[in-house]
Amino acid sequence: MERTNQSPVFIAVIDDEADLAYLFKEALNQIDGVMVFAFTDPSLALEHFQANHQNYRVVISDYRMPTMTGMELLSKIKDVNPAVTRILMSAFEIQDDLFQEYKCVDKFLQKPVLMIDMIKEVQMLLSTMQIPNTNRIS
Amino acid sequence: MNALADDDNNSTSPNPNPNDNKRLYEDEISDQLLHVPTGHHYLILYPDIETMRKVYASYIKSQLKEQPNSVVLFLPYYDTTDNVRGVLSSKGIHVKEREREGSMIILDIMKVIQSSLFEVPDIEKLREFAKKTEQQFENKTIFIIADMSVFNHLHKPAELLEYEKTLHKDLKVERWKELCLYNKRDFEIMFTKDESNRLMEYHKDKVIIMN
Repeated sequence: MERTNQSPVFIAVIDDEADLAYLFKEALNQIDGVMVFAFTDPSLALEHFQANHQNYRVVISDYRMPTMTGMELLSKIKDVNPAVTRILMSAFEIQDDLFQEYKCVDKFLQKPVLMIDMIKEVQMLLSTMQIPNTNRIS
Repeated sequence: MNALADDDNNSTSPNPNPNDNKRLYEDEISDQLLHVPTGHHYLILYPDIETMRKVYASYIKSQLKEQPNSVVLFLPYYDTTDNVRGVLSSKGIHVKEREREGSMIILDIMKVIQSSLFEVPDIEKLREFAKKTEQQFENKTIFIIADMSVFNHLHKPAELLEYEKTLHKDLKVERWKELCLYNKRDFEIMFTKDESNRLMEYHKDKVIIMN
């Protein structure tokens, strides 16, 4: 996907393990035309998203994190901008009824996630995604 | 290999880096926990998963060195059980052998709470599980480390508050040392100021707040 003449699209990675968040950020930054933000605190991620949601295309969150679960975070993300693709990742099993209850997860990744798989997944998402008008909010 | 004779090759260097204050601090906390007498229930607030890992690894290693015939029951929440095994093994603890012989039990706390083994409310499952463990190891000292942050995600602070107040009911407390871990931010969200004060008051001097 060629986006060099456009503003970069934002991607957020949220993981309470700082090392992992940093690794995911470094990996995803290899994709052309994206700007990746890594957070260890879901509340801060949500604040950043609320302020910049027009630029965001993908939010990737871990499940078990202090203050709120990844599912709760992605649900709030969906409330702010449902056009953003929401990916949940976890090393733990997540009960199906939680996915049904929240209805906010577009894709689930089982940890450990290979960086190359994460990059491919996001590249594929971005290539199939229509870049919306930045002022259009659903 | 005797699981009780844990390898001491990875023990703390006698000449630690004097600039590594963080490491020294975690060792200090671990040392403090080691010297808590059995029959006590401590509340420990940790700032992040990395710090928590260093503390539990250091503490369990020291505790097993001091009391090799004891039983460790570890119920993590933010760490996977496999990761806990890896962390403990890296400290020279013979996790596999201990698990095989039953002197170390590592279980995801969520699985205990969601277990269908006990037909009681969630928080009571934890108590039932503790009672079952006590019956299983009748003559041994048991060290329990449980990450209670799970109750923030379950949105059940009232039940947790009650549990914390009546923790040792029905248990032979003199053989137990229980460390209830809480992620600081979960703790702050979970309890009102009043509830938090009541908890602190209940635990009195048995609260460790890590920076």
